[in-house]
Amino acid sequence: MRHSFPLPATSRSKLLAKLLYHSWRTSILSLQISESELAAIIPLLTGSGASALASARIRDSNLRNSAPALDLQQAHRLHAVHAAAFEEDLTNVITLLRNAGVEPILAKGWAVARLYPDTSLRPYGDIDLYVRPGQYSSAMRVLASPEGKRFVVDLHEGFDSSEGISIDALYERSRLVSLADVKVRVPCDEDHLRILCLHFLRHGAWRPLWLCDIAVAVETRAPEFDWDICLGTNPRRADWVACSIGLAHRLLGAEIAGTPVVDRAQTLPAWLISNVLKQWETPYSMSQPPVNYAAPMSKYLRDPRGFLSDLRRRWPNAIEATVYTGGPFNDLPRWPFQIGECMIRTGKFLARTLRPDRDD
Amino acid sequence: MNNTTNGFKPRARKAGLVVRELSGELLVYDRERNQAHSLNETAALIWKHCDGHSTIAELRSTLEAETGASVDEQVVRYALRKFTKLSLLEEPLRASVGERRLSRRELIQTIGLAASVPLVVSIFAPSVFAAASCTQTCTVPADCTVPGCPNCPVPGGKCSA
Repeated sequence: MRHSFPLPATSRSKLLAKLLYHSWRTSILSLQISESELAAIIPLLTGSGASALASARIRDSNLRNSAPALDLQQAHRLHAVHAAAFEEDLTNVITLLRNAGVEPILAKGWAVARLYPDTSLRPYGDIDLYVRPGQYSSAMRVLASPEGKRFVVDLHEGFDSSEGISIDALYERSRLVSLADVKVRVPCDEDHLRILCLHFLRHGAWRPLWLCDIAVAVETRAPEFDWDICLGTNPRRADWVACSIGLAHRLLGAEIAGTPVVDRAQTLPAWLISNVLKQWETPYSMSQPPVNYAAPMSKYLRDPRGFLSDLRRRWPNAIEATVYTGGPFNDLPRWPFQIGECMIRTGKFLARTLRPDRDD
Repeated sequence: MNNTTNGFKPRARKAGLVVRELSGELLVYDRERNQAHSLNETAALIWKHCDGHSTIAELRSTLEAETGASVDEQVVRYALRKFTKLSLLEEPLRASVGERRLSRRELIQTIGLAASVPLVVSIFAPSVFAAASCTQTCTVPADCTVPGCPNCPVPGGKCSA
C-alpha cells in the first residue's frame, strides 16, 4: 500500500517529520521535498541524530548529490564507524561484567539499533545497562576499574517502578541476542516497546529518533507479540503507550493495522501532536532541561537576578508534565499538570535544601 | 627492514582500528587517534591485501587479478603512502632517495582513469550528531567521554551522556 505524508509541511518540524516518514524501511516511497527545504532542516537532523536516516531516505531521490545531502552522508559515515566502535565496546563490557558474575540487560541504544536495517542508521552515545539491585555494587566496581573506565555505561540499579515492570519480570522475559561472538541480554519485544514509549514521553518527546525507534519496534515485532504484556495492567500507562504508538503512526507512518491501538491513534488529543511538533523545532540536548537552565535554583537563593527569565526555561512541556504527574492524555488543558509538576519539583527542591544533613 | 625497497611487505594495522563497510566504501575508525577515514574500492582492496607477506609488486598483481585491469605499481605506492600518512600500516613506507612521488592529479594523468585511483578521505562531522541521553554534567573536559556529544557544556570537550 502506498502512503503519503498526511500533514502540510508548513514548519521545519513538519518537514522533519515528512523526511523521516518511513525512513527506517528498506523500501522507501518517493520524497517531495526541495533542496532549500532540506537545507533548512539539516541542523535539526544532524543535531538530533537523525542524519543517517535522512541520508538513507534521500539516497534514491534527486537530492542525493545536493550539498545538504553530502553533509548527511558524512554524518552517516561517522555514525557507521561509531556504531562499530560501540558494538566492540558493548561486547567487551558485557564480557567484563559477566566475568564478575553480573548479568546485565541492555535497553535502548544497540538493543533498538539492531532492529533497523543497519545499526548505523540509529546512533547512540552510551550503553544503558540494567542490573539487579543485588549486583549493582559489583557492577559499579567493575566499571570503576581501569579496564571498565574505558566504556561509556549508564548503569541502572534495578528498574524504574514508573515503567510498571519489575526487574524480576524484566529478567524473566528477557532474551539473548547475538552480537559478534557474545550473547547480549535484551528485554523481550513487549517490554522494550513499552520502555521506548514511556522513555519518549518522560523526556517530553523532543527527539524525533525516539519516535522512529517506536515505529521500528512496532513494525519488527514478532507474530506472537503479546499486547497485554506491552500495554500492562495499569490503564493510564497503557494509554500512554498506545498514544506513543499512535504518534508514530500519525507522524511517521508506522504500520499499526491489526494492533489494539488503531482506534486510539485516530483520537489523539490535538495538544499532543502539536506539542511533539513544537519540540521538534529545537530537537537538541542543549535546548532541553536541565542543560538549558541558566543556573541551579540554589544560586537564586543567594542572588535572585535572572530568576524570572530562567523560570520560563523551567516551565515543563505539556507531555512531560502530564506523565510526571500521572495525568491522562485527554482533551483538557495541560496547564494544571504543568503547574503540578512545578509544585512537585519545588517541593523536592525545598526538601533537599532544608535537609539538616546537607553537605553544602 | 628497508621499507623503501621493493622487498617491503606492508601489513595493515589492526590494533585500535574498527572497520565497517558502508555502501561500497570501507570505513576505518582509528580509536587511538579518534579519526575516521573512508577508503574507496581500490584503496580498500590494497589495504585488505596488506598482509605482511606480499611485496608491492605482488600487491599490484593481486589488484590486477581482482579488478581484471592493468594496474600501475605507482597506484599501489600512492595508496601505501596515504596509509602511512594516516597510520594505517604497522610499518611506514619510506621514500627512496630520489624517488618521485606522484600527486593524485599526476597519477590520474599517468593511469588515465580517475576511478582507479585509491582514495582515502578523512571523515569529519558536519555538526553535532550523537544521540544519547544526558546522565551527568561534566565540569572539566576529562569528565567527558563521548566524541561529538551535543550535550557537552564544556567547549571542545566530550560528554558522558
